[in-house]
Amino acid sequence: MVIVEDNESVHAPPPRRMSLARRETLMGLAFLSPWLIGLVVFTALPIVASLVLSFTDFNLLHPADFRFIGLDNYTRMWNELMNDGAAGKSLGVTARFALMSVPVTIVLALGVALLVNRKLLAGKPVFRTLFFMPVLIPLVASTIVWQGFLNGSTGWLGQILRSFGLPSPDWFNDPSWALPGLVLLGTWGIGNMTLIFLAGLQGVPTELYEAVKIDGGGPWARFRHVTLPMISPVLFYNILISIIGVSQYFTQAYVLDPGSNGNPGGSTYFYNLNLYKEGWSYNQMGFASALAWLMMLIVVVAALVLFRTSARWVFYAGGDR
Amino acid sequence: MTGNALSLPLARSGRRRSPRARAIRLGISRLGVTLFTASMAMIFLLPLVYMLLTSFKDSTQMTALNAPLWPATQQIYTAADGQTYTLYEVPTASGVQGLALEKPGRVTSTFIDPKTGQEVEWQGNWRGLSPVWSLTVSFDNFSTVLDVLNFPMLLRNTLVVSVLGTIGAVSSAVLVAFGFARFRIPGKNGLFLVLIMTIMLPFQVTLIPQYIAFLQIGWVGTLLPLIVPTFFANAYNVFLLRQYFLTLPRELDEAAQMDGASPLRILWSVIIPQAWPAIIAVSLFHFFFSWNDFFVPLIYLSGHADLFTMTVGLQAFSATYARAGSGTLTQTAALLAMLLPVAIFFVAQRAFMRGVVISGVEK
Amino acid sequence: MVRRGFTRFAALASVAALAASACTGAAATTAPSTGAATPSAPPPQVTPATTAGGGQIVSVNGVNHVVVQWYVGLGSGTNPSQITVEQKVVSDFNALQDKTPTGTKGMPILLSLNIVQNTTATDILKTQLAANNAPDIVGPVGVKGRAAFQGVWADITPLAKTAGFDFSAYDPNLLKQLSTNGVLDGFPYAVYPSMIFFNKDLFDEAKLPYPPQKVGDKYTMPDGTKVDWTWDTVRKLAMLLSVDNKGKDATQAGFDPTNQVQFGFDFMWSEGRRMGSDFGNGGFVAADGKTAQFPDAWKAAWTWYYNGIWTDHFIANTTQENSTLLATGNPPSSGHVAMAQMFQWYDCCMAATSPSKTIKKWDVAIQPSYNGTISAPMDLDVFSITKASKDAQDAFTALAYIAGRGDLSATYGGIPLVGDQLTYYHKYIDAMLKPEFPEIYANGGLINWQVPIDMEKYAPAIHHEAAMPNYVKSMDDYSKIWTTLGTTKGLDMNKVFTDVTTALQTDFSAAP
Repeated sequence: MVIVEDNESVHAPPPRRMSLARRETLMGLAFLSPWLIGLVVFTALPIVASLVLSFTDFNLLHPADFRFIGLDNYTRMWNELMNDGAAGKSLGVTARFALMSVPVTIVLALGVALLVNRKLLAGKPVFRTLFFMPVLIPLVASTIVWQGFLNGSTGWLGQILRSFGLPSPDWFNDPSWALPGLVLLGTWGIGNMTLIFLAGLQGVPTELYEAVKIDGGGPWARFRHVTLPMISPVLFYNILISIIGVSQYFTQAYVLDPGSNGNPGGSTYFYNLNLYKEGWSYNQMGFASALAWLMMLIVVVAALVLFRTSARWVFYAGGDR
Repeated sequence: MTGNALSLPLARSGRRRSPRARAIRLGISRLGVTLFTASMAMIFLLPLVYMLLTSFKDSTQMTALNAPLWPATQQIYTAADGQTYTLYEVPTASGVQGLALEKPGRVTSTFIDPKTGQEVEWQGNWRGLSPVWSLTVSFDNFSTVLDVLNFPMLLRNTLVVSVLGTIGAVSSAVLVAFGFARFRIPGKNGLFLVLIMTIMLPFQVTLIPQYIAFLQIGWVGTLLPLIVPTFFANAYNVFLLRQYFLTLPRELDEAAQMDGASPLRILWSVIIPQAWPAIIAVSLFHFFFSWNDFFVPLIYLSGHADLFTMTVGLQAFSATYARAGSGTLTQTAALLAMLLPVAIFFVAQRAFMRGVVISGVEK
Repeated sequence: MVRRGFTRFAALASVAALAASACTGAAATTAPSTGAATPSAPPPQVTPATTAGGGQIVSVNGVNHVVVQWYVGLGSGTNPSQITVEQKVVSDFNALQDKTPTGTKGMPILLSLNIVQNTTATDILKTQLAANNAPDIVGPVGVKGRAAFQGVWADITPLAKTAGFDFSAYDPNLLKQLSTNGVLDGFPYAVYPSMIFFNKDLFDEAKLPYPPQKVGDKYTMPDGTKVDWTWDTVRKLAMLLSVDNKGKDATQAGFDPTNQVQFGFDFMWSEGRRMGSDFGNGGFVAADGKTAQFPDAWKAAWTWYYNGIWTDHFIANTTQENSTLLATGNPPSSGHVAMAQMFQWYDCCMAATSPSKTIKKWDVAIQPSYNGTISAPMDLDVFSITKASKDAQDAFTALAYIAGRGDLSATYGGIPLVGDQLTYYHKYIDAMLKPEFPEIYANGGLINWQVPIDMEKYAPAIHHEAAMPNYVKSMDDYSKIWTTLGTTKGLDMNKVFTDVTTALQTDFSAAP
């Protein structure tokens, strides 16, 4: 093998380049293989199955007798989107939540990461642990805690606000405050994001900060011209992941309202809650699969747009090939 | 931000001051930053404080009127006939007295003076009176939780799933991310998009086909569906590691390549040492993800209580006890369940600093 | 075509996954399950002989057993005290089977208990059904729980016939209510009549007489007038029992509803159709089975409830209900509620959630009347066998045993449909409550169980959870409007009624 390759490298320069490229491809594919095999074995089946299901009237209770119904599920979905039906309303709830939640969590996570990364901060390990801790509380328990904490009559937050003479919203029982309440609850989940930012901040070379200092730049200039570009790949990751996360937002809303009806007044009837209801409660798994594919399409488009713009603001030190 | 505002003007003006003055200045900035962070943490963790205090409370305190925020119990007076009454702080002609409420009434109530055992008629609104509270840290919730939940078993199952799963997830993700970050493969961008797409389908629709597949191979009712798939690279982890690998300069691996190092060698001795923070982050994420994962273990382990993981056991516990004691037990159980992960995190986050030392960048 | 393609995918994936599994050590296979909240006892030596979904045969200590899976969680049955009894029933049955096997295959039956918490029980059962991995017995389950699984349950009658089991002692009307489209698809198990729970100490504090315990008895108001026990009387009484932190009741000037610390009345885990049925027999479906309607008595009931929250302040709104003051959604157990309309099954929780620390003395009163008639909705539980069960007859054998255990139905708070009910109450329910409420039973005191027994006769002919077209969706859609009653001030009730009827009509028309 080695000899043959050597021969090639010596005697035939053009094929050698091709073979090198091919070798790189094969080597790369070898590295990708765990994922590729997993894709075929564990993921392709469910994904293709869900696509097939979206053209049927598959029902969980009677799995054996499903029929192929063409585009019926998709036309129904279209009608619901156009006429403010359940699918349209729930898409609206999810979009509103995304607009509130994604910026808040990103900014908060970045702020906390910058804070616990400061050289001057004493007890960094303790603070890092403290800010990460809520992630370790199972959602079932943390939702109970927040329900108690935000209760309009005996909750701590209301009592604190009232003691300062401030009005206190009735969070989870008021249709206009339920989503902001969930955003608050979501701040407890910033731990992972903070950790990713922290990992990104660790990779910023100190010399760059020194350079800005020498140029007379202040803290904002350092953040704007060094930190932000250097951590832009992880920022990009966090934004994309939080958009995907919001598109799949489910458990909190599910735990919050035992009937999973998106109460109060449908204000927390998220897209995935509707999808779950259709598939699991109303036994319309075919329609639910169609809903899933619509959301997937929306997120893919969002991801593509984000990828396109990323060329302008994401900086890869290692180059992106 | 505040830390910056505090430290910077000082830093500029004091460039030529004595080392002592510098130390003091540094100390002040350090104090400012730390205090600010501490107060942020306080606000952020207020619900956790609520949770912590609740877990030390007796369930009766949760529903009691005029109860303090800290764990406390009402003082009880036991009469000669064995009946028990709650003591209240009652304003009387001779000052505030601790009297036991025998017969509450809207206009007048009958109290018993614990000193004399005599009945006292009192005019006024007993609901406005504060019971005599005494600070009592109750460990009853903890003992109930420890009695009911089989913690060692839940811990063992959870550790099997999360440790094996983390090993699988991290090793496979590192390989795949390296493939995506450093190799020229035709159609790589398309593959990468497929990778991203695999995390976009909601689990509600993929669950049934997955369940059917695992049922057919007889894995339902075992821990295998929770462990084996992790060895085939999770898209989130690959994505994150790929993002991080791309931030690493290529010069080092190109140098190694010149020296004839194989790709695996480069990954092992060039990339991984530089990527510690991200690898640790991924390990922690996967570990805590499988620690907290709920629906999938629930579905696959249903009916096999001896295989339950922490969250499944906890959910069963909390659904059962949510009605008891206003959630005090659920919050206690959740607190106990998070002790080990918090300790693990505390230890692991130090590795961030170690990672910095290895990559030769000190801040 | 499509189905075959689907199966092929499954097969392909299975083969690949099997190949993958060869590299990994298989995790330990497991013993028949026990409850969630139990310390694990060392499981017996069990090796599965066949591993397919249902119809499983396992070898326990060398003897082959037919496995019958009992699924608990669609209804009652997941409280710790209930789990203990369920486990005892299972181990007793299995011990009996090991002594004298009665399985149809000549093997002993191994009853295997799967307890799933109510919040997730529906999802898990649906997953198992979809994968053809269904349990054999499901129960106890009420009318609503079963309606979510229409078409899944097997007809009990032929199984009962083969087993020589006779339903002639049962009230034919009840059997009719328990049937779906004329098919008895569940084993008639227990009834849970409604009644009014009242906290004696709060009545004493207000110096008010207790509510009546016999149909026809009048109630004496504070001014000495004797009035009929109607929902309007309950309203007036409940306002006197609703108190703010200054000690003012809801009838007095200056009463402050924002600082209310005691409530006169509560509907335990309120539900719109049950609320309606409290006032009169009826339903959302007209006689033709497809037109949505809102009966007048139900309108009166919803208005009564709504005004009770927002105008008369004797019922807690949703925020207050979920506050810690009212035990986070369990007002009657908090000790701050004077009366509550509840089903017999709440007994279970009276014993399990130890409200005894907050409530000392309580009793039960009769359901009030509306327009001269009493309507007391009643919950009905059955045990069902799934059509997918591969050993339905063995499942019935186990079911007959389960249904015969009085200690079990007592933990559910249910009364058996046949036999001397009062004796049953004293034997089982009192035994359960006595340790929790010694003050009630001190000096020969008792809870007046004749009240719920009397209430059985007043159960409305149409069950409050009776069938509707497009059942689960219809239920969700009216519930969405119903819940706004507890959260929103200033609703126009006429608009609420139209909205409900419109929403339901849409769902009814969309029914397949």
